[in-house]
Amino acid sequence: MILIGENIQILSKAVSEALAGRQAGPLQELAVSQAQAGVHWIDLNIGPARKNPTETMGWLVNAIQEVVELPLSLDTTNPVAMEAGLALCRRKALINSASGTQDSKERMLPLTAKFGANVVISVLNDGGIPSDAAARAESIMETIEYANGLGIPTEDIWVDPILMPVGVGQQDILEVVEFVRMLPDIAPGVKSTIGLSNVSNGAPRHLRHILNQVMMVILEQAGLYSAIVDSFDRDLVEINAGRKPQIVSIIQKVMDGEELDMKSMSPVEKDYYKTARVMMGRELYSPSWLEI
Amino acid sequence: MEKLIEKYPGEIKELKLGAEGRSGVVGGQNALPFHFFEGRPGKLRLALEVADSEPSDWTPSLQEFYADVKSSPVAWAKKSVDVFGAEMIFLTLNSMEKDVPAEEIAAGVKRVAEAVNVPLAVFGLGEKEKDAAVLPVVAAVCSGMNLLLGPVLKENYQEIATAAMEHGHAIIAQSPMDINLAKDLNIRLGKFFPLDRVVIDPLTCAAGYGLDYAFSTMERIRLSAVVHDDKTLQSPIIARVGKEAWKTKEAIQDAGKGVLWEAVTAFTLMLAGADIVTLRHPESLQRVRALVS
Repeated sequence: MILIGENIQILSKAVSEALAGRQAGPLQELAVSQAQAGVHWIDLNIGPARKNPTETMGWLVNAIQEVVELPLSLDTTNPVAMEAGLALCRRKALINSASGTQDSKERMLPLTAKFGANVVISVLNDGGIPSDAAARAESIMETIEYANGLGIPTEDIWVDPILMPVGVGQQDILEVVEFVRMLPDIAPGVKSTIGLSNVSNGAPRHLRHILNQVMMVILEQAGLYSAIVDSFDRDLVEINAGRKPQIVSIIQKVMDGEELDMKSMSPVEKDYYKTARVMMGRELYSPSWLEI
Repeated sequence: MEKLIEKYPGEIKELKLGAEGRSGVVGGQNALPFHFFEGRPGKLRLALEVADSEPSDWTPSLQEFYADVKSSPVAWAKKSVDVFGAEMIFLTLNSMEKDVPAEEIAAGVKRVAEAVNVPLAVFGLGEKEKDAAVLPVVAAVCSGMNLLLGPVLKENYQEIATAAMEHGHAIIAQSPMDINLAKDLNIRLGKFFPLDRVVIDPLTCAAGYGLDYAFSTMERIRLSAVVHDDKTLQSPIIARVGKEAWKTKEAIQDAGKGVLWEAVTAFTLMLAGADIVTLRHPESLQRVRALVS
């Protein structure tokens, strides 16, 4: 799976301070260490960038391009900042993100066409976040058709199903998985991505990584093309690189509906097994799901 | 014609409350609420609320209604059982607000427990430190009386549940209207406390004031326990209705409406899975009883 590193993001205090003070050092360091960790894209999340949108994104894109070769995912809700960043990207960038809302159709999608960029399009529309797989499909088909009409090829579209925290809607995870499975049929050639870490939002901090990792494996099995991830989750990068086949195999078996005997598992394997059962809706989630 | 009857894998264990001669059971079902055609129904308990010192937050109409007994929790509890037909007394420790010494509060609880022949639930303020200080004393003074003590929260479950276990009481585990957190607390409790001695309090709202949230939380807890056999949620559920119903503006304006509000809220939550409902007005108790029996 293609990994997009999420660690340059405005909600981080260090990032927002460096960005406000135009200190390139800490941000460049973050970009380099993410590249070294093994991710394939670098996400630059500057939020809504109400003050100096053009200057902020431009400055950041230049600063990051000085130190890494990786392609950039520009993450802002501000179309002005987006356009400024796109104009400076050396490689074909990823717009993160557009959606099916009227505003996004009018302001973000035309930028995609203008710069020939890739674009994340989420299933969000003016009615909100669709509730199940079928409603997600309906929403995205409508937006893809609109984007195609603007001259954006389907291959440049990265569909985001929108992943909710497991503590908010366990059932919704299964809907997302089903939707990801449907994608090649409903939109041949389309790519996909997801904000992976959101699944563990609200979960105990020290347990977030295992939730993210298991979610990644399940979505990878379902056919997800890429994910926006915590670059410094070493196990996640390792699993993605195929270095933990035993863990992946356990998760696959849970996806296939198998009941496994935990007695023969190591403590680490047990944790992955229990987490996969929660993710697949086999066990009701609670913050202490590993302790049962 | 073929009868399509569901058989569910999970069940709620019967919970016995109260000392010998004063005991009663709650729960014990292996089917969904009121699905008598599918399995064994659970034992329900309609409780009346009694305050251990004169309540200041009850509406004037209720204050008036209980004028003859409200200064004596023992008399109040006896009347609730003997005259009004309460199947359980839900004693709230209002005296904790006045920082009455814990031993004195506990002695008062004991007097009430000895005065009635139905199970007794004892409920603190829901303030984690105060409850953790007082409820263990109540547990000790009333040792062996098999009370239902609560609320036990994520922040104080160790102190209260340990004392409850040592002295043979059951507990009310409270979590803020979230099935995942209800499960979390039961998992933590289950490490040292028998889960068949736990009643879940997922919090309650009155009709018109968010009842749908309370309903769906209770419904999901019960579905998980019975249909999906989630062992961590196989506990009876309590809905503390009286307090919520009687703070609505409808109930405050008009006692008649208050009775309806209380009865409708209680019955609705029983449909969702509540096994114990706590009420403030005996007329609503009669109305609910007429519906469920």
